[in-house]
Amino acid sequence: MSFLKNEIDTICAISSPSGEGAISIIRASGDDCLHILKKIFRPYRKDLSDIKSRFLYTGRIFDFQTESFIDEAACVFIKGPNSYTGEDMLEIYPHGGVFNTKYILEIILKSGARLAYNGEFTKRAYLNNKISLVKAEAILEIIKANSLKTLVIANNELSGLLEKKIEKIKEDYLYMLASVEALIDFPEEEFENLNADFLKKSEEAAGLISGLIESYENYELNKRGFSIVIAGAPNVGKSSILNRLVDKKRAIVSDTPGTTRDYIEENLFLSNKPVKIIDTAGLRKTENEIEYEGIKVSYSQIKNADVVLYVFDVNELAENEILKEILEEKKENVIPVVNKLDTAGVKNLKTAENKIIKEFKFTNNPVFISAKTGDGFESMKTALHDIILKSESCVKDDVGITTIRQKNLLLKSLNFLESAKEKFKEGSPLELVSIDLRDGIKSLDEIIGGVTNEDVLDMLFKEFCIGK
Amino acid sequence: MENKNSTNSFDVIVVGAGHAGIEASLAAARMGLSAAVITINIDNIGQMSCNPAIGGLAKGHLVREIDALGGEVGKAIDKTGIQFRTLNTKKGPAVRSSRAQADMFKYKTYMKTALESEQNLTIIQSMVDSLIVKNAKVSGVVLWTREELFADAVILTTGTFLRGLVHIGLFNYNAGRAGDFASNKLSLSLIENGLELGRLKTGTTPRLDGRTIDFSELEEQKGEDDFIPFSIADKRINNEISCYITYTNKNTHDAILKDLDKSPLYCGVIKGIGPRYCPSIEDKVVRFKDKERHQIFLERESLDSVEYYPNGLSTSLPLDTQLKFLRSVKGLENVKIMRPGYAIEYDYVLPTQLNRSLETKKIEGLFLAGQINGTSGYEEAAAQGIIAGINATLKIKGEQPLILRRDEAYIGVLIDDLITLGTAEPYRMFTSRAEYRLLLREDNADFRLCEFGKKAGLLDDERYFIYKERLGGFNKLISFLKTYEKGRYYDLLKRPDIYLESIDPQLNEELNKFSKDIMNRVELFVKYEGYISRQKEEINRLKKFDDFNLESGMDFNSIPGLSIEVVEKLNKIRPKTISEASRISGITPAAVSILLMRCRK
Repeated sequence: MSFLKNEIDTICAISSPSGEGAISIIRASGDDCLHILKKIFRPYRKDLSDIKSRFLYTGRIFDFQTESFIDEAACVFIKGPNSYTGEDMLEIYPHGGVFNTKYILEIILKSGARLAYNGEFTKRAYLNNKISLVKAEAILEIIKANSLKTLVIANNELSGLLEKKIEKIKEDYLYMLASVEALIDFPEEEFENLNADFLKKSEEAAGLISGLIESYENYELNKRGFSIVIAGAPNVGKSSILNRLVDKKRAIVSDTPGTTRDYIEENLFLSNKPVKIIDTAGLRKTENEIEYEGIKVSYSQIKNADVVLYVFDVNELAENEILKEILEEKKENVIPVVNKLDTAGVKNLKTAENKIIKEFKFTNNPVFISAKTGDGFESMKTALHDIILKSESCVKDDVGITTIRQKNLLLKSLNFLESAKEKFKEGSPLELVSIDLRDGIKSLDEIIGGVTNEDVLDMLFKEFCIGK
Repeated sequence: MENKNSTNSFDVIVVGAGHAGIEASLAAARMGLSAAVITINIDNIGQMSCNPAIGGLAKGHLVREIDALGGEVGKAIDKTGIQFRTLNTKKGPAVRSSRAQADMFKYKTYMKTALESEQNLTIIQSMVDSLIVKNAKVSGVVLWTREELFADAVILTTGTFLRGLVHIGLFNYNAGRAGDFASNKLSLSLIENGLELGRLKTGTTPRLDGRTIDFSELEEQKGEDDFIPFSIADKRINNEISCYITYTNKNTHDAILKDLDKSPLYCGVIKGIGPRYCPSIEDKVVRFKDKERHQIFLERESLDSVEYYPNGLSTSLPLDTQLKFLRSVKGLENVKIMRPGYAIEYDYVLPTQLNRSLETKKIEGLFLAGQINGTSGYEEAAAQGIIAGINATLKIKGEQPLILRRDEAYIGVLIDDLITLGTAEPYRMFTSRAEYRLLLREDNADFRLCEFGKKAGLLDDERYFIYKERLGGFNKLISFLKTYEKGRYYDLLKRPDIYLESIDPQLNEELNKFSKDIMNRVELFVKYEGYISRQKEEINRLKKFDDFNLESGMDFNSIPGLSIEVVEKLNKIRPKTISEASRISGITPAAVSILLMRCRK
């Protein structure tokens, strides 16, 4: 069992990002930390014989093999178990050069430590009971978060809200299990409403699990960043809008309809939020195979978009089936954009607005712009900004899962739950229902922590009147 | 071993002759040791202090397991039972359980005779006041008359007798059970020898005069004549009586609530913790206010007596309240109470101080079994009794103890739960305590355990040969089905609604060679094979943790990363393997992985 050996070594790694900076951070964790520190570090003021935990020492790093002076640095020793990993830890803050930092790491490795794997400090924190597995995962997700929404979800995970939600599901499970066990172990008792309650709890649990599973798709989407898709009929000026938004000639524009055959994606900051803008091929019926493929891609982009800018030509406001579908699916997340303002009279604008709201049934008011002159772009950005803000304001209590591991375990649990429910309804032997329920709980346990037989009995005696 | 001829020296002394003491002393004597059993009252050997019944959910399993090891309880109930039923017939086969009403007088006479039939067994009426312990090893007991008796092993099966205190309303008195002396000194001797004791409470119902019960309007519950006898050795049983069902009602509950201030439970007079699964009627009425009625089973105690046991009405309310609420129940309008219901408090030894063999960790040669370990129930007691008897004997013979695992027997679950989890209330066996319920069925108890009984030298040839014959038949039928017409019928049998009897008339000639019992077992085996192999896989996965031994002197305090709570639990229970540690309540998976690292370091 070689993994056991891995778990007791002293590990170390450079914790700051690679490249030059002001200060670097090197971290180590394990029994040998103090020994290593004494070997490579000489403090200016005191010696290390009575080193205090959590005190900052400054001094010099030496290569113990050559006795050469490597760098001046600050060090902290943190005595376990009151450290992040639960073990003795060491942090060294040398100057932020690439070479000196790596050199110090080399010396530490030569003094008996081993290079840490990705996420190994956090793994040790988990193994040493400092944090739960869910929390460990949350920490990694916080590091990777790229928007307020993903950060909020990961923070909710870290603060235990996700665990609470899973505990709630487990409680439902426990109730069902206790019902089954009551029926088995107390066959001569009378239980009221037990069947109905069982089914109610199973629906409730299934709903919660499905909700969490769905939250993963949502989280993944968010991780990809907020996406804005520019859609509309051909030759309404979609590519020109993109070009002006990103302020460069990214897309080829021409007067020929159907110029954009593939989609074009650009990242930019919109009122300080990272967003992704996607220009798509114009939507129309076509015989051209290449253009047809492009339109198919447009569809899937629109489906996954957070916001759709649906562009019209002010002189040619036409509705079609595709637009209806988009509106039905995206509702208030579609902004009607009327382009080519520079070619239209004031009267046209009124008719256009009427048509869009009354006839096409958009929920949002149209914004009028000219991609050519840049008129109206500020109000378009404001409209986008409002939608982004709205989507983030409902984020606060967003509890969701963040890893594929969690999702798979929830799927597994859901399968067992459905199977238990079916068996219960069909009147299969109850001990088989119990096995499915227990396996369902086990999958949840793999996400957080365990349920014992004693927990089942506690629930049973709390909820059901028993006693011959 | 040397032959002990003197009148005060034995190989094994068993203290107590209840359900645990009987199995323990019979096991020791039948395995060839000279044994003595000491009881406070010889007339009450094998007394059924609470309900006159053997078996029930998970308890029926225990009885058949004890029988497969060579115990007596199964044979006793087969011969002295007066009504036999199978519970859970409509649920799955793994949770079907047998239950029998006993003629309690015939039962105890049978047991007394069984003890008297053993040449190696000396039966003594006396009380044990203290243990003789030298260098952490037990060498005998001191009786209340000051005589000393010596033995290499002592098995304590004291039931509810240690500092027993009976409560009827706010009146209480010292007794081991109503009508018997309490044992008031032995607890002190146990404490002086370093054992930690706790206090539990249990209760029983009033006994009613059957001549004053009107059965005419009550629901009757009959026995089953095709019941499979508990013991491998027995071929038939006799159903002689029916039980009757009635219910409490609002008037009953009002009468109880009105006098709650006279209940020792609610006044705080009783300090011991009672069983949640067998609450007193006052407890049920208070805790489940919305329930309009509670079931009562009226069970006759003996063919030679008119006394009835109203199952479901355990109470420690004053006698006049007992009568008042009883008379509000249909059929009991004119009932007379012959003996009052009562609660009893008693000392028990925290069972986490035991080894798997049921020997105490602190005192060599001292074994404990039954209620003294915090359990409840005749069957749970008998199960520990037989294991303690076998293991005390094996120890004296210098052999390895008999240890049953959780996936081998309910007895294994029982003992493992006791020694790793301990218990704060009287522990009763439930099928839900067994993770491998599908494997641990009543129908295969003999297949699971007869070889253990034989190896230990306890199981007699009669039972062993019947088991061998059944096993042969089972294997023959399985291989017939697997090969006949390329196993077509074997696969067919996996479907839930297909049974051997109706599978195909052309098979009848072949099937007639097998008994109905074997056919049943084969059906079960085939139908549940998928689930069973799933459970077996898990067992094998977990088994490897049994091989990770924790050093006996391991200093848990010095292991970084373990919380104070975990360290305290580990120090108290001192698990021997990783898998034991993992089952202790409050030991987290993370703590287990830390221990895993240590035991390989």
